[in-house]
Amino acid sequence: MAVTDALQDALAGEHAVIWGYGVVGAEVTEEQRPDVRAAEQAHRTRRDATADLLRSMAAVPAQAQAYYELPFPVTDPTSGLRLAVHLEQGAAAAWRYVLGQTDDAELRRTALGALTDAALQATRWRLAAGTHPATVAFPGQ
Amino acid sequence: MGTPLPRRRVLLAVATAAGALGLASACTGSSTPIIPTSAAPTAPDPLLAVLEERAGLVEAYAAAGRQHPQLLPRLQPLRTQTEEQVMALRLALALPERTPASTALGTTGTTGASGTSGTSGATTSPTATAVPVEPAVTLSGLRAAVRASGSAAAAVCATTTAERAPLVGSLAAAAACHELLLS
Repeated sequence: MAVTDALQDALAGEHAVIWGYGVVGAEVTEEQRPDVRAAEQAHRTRRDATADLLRSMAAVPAQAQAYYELPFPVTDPTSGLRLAVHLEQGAAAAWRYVLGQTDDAELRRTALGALTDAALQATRWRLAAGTHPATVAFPGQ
Repeated sequence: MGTPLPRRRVLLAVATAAGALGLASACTGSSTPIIPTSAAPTAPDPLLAVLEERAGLVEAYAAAGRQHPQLLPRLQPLRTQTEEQVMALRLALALPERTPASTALGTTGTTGASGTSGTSGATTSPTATAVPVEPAVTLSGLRAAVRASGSAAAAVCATTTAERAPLVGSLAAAAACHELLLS
């Protein structure tokens, strides 16, 4: 798989995460909503940067889908936070995959930054949900 | 791109959709490389330094737990995950397996994380600890050691083989998360 394909998947993942945070935001508590917005914004920024990167590689960035299938019913703050963790884990996996598809040090740093941010945000959501332990040994795996 | 629609949807439907399709090869690949023997005599494998740092962290967690048993609930999961990382690194380096218990007891001489001042002093005998260290100081020392370990992994991640980069990147990200939990 070419690195552009891996980046396209990562971009598709960012689209999905942004959509998913819309669902999360509708279910979490009022106090958690600013954190959801901040997390979503981080992914919007990442999405735009990834699309720019793909354009610079002469690729046409993947478009967002109109609708995504949820992995489980999201009906309350608990399942909302669970989805948030799920979304960040998906993003972490996509970016971890990019790492193995390139030898370019700069692109590796970009992908590692995205992987780390997603892993950190997943950790914050697990803390918010009271999940123990709040970390995993191999983020993105 | 010939595979698009189903694949993109799956990423949301299954946490590791991108991973399920592609990561599997990256993951298994990172754990089974064979180091070319011709590379060994010239320069030390950079992954060895990452391994030593993580092994040092396991010992630092053990020492901190002995010094401050009240920190154990907080430190134990981090130590367990770090032990898993050590095992994965040993696999990636094709080193023989070693039981984590031997390092957990703190009786080995490996102290890779030399930056863990304040935590490596209490090795086998708590009564021999001359200067009592505040838990906050111990945590701060662990935090610094974890951060250093994460930086080392990130540096290696930028330049290592494509086969190893996912594993080492994961270790860098995990260090950032552990640092967060030690704050």
